[in-house]
Amino acid sequence: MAKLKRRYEKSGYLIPIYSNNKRALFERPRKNLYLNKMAFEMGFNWLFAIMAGGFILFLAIFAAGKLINSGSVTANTLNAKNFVNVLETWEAGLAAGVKPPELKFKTNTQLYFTCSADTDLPFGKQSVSASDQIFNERYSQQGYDVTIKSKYIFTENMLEGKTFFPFSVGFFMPFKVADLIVFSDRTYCFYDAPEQFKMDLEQLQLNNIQFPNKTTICKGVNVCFKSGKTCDVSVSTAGKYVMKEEQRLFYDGNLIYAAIFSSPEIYKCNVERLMKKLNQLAYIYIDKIKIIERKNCKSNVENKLYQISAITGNFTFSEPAFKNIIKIADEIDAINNDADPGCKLYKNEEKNEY
Amino acid sequence: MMLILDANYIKMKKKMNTKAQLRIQEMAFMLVGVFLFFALVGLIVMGIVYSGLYKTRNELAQQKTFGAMVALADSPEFSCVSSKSNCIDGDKAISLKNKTEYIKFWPFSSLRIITRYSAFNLNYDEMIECTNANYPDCDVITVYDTGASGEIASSNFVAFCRKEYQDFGNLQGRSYDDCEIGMIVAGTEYKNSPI
Repeated sequence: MAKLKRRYEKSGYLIPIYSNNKRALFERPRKNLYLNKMAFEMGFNWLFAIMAGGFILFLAIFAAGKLINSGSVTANTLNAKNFVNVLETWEAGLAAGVKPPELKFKTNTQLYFTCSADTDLPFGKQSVSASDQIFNERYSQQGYDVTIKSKYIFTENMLEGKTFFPFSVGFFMPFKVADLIVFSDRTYCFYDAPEQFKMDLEQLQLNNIQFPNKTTICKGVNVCFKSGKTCDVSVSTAGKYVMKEEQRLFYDGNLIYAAIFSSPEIYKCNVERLMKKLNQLAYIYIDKIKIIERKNCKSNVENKLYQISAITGNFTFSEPAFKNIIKIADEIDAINNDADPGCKLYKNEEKNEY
Repeated sequence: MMLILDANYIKMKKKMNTKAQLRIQEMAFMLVGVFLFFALVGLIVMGIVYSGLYKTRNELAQQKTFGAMVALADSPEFSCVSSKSNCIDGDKAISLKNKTEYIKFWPFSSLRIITRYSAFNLNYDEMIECTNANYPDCDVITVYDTGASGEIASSNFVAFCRKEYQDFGNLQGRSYDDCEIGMIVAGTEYKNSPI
């Protein structure tokens, strides 16, 4: 008891004392009371205020953090939405190629692209989300995915920068199926490109495309049309394929641009989506044949259209399936070209062959 | 030496306890008040922020509709046989009528094509709806209509072309494209609440 009392005396707290009638009484040790003038009594009010204040402060900081975070997510989602809105106006029509203005963001921005041919059937979908740079190398939280269903964007899985370089070309199989929108963020160096290909790309006046010769130096993604160089992308115009990331991407016509500029996953997925659109368009042309028959127009492509729609409905990317579609498309084109000029089902501009 | 406190001190202590309890109650009430105040402020801020978001969402949706609608005539589903820009092939458009697959493809809540100039001043219920049977003697092709409760309509003039046949007699004749001014009318669903 004496030991305990001494300890209490030293501490400066009230000491419980039991009197004779066993009632709890209190005594403040006089010595400590007068000597320890700096002593501070931590009453309940203080403890309670500190705890409650801390809790409110924590809640306020937490809410502010959440608000800032949701603000940046909202801003990034709006960025992606604006990006999609810009794309909506890009329909090249029957033009050979269109170069929309470069897309510029205020700060460094990362654009993430995904593609799915098996969801949102029959057309599949693409998604884009954005994230802008806050400071140093740090990027804000990615915004929500914005879905694109009616466009076919060929790009790497992630683009980064302030300026992006788009161009758009038509895809014909044999009639126009869609516009291929190609997006890039880096410099591409084309070596030994065929003259026609070079001319078509130069016409678009893209600032990130270079055709270096022996005297010029180009730093970027090396695209080679002949073997023997260290290349990131190799193009075989004889085999009609592009080798990228050790994968063989078969192409036809303007799909060559898509294969060069996009990641293999996005390329294959978008080609599958294009084939599904071709499938729907084939049925529209079949219906059109029935309508124009009333106006004395006869077309012999109906059977071939049924044939192409049968194999494009559940198309998965493979060389034989792709080449089979190209073969039937060429047959449809030949029949349509032989039709009465007033009764042609469709008319195309000159098809690019690389 | 210890000082033993008397009964007055105990009474005072009891009084202090009652006061402390009151203070705890006051503090608790104040805490609830502060919490409710912050919650209310938060709700008001969220309300303002989200009403702005819905406004932005509607503006962006309308922009998207307008952009897509302007480009629609040049899309493969509608484009004319001849390489004309901003021209709709009516023979293709009529076949889109029953294709429900396209409802989610374009960013419109409804899509209509008014096929002739004379119908521009009519209400939809006064127009003759095009079907496979009465085409081309009709006023409007409703490609689809999702029946959205709130809708903003955007429109764009286009050339509306279809195949026609001119009979010269003696089994002679020619097929040609007959075009007149038409209009694309696309709707955007207007949202003003999360529900």
